[in-house]
Amino acid sequence: LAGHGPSMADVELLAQGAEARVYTSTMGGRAVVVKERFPKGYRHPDIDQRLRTTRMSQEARMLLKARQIGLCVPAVYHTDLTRCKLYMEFVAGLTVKAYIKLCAAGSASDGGPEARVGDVAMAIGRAIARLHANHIVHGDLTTSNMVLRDGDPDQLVLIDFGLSMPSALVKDKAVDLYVCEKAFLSTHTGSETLFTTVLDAYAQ
Amino acid sequence: EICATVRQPGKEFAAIDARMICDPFQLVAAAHQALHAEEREKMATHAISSELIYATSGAKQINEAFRRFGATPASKRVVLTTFDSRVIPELRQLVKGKEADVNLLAGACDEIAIRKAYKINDAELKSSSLIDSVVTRIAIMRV
Repeated sequence: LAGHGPSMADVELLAQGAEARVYTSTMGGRAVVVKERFPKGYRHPDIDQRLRTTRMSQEARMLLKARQIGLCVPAVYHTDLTRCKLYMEFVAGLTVKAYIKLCAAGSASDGGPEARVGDVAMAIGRAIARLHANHIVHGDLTTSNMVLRDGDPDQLVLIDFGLSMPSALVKDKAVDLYVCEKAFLSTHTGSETLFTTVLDAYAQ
Repeated sequence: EICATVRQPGKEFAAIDARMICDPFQLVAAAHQALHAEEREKMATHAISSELIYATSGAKQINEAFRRFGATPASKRVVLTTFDSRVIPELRQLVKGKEADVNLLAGACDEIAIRKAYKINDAELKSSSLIDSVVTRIAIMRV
């Protein structure tokens, strides 16, 4: 264990958002995702630091809470509070967004892709229901934040808990679902029935 | 199987009861925590070796960490950890026992004791592997 932090040799930028950059790297032989919240120039530096660490620790704690209630979410491998970096399990696979698009284009390799899309939708509904039953709102339920591990429709993993928070308020849960609906409808044309499947599974 | 019958109190290495370790990665994650605490000058213990044991435990209390995870004369299998690789040859000489492959840890661990120490319940293990649950707790301990 010479030095600390993952080996910097194989760090690659995966994505950049408004608040954070996401890198892939390795740690102890495992593929990791490093989420780094960078400072925002327009914020007062003290507030900025506090905000970044608070959000990061919130995300980490929510990932643990989600795991404790039996949801499939990335494991947290390390938290670097000084640099606001969160090291998580890299979940290899297909985002639900990509999967739905594949199915819509009719190019999924297994037989009966439409049926599996329905299964995925039900899994999504059940996952959100479990979160809400435990008074957690995800905060960013888009199909890009849902991954099928190894492309397996039976292995749904929710990622990106950066906006998640504990909440028992019906209002917050409703917003969670509303965001999800909007994400479905805007990204995947004609997915009204698919989202209905999500809601039905949620209701149960 | 590592059977240390000689206890060497020292600061350059730590002796951990191997039954509490289900995967070498558990110690890797704890090591990152220990190094990070050292860097921030927020170590809970006074040496990095003991900080590793503290980090592995995921507990708030230091004595609990040592009680649960530290090697005792009763420990049949022990993991010796160090941040200084120069110590290793010396350790090999001092320890009376058989050195074993670190990847054998998974088979020799006490799952019940691990689950109790980290408070991992059945519901969680339906969708998570033991090591993922353990490492997540280690990583989040200070957060």
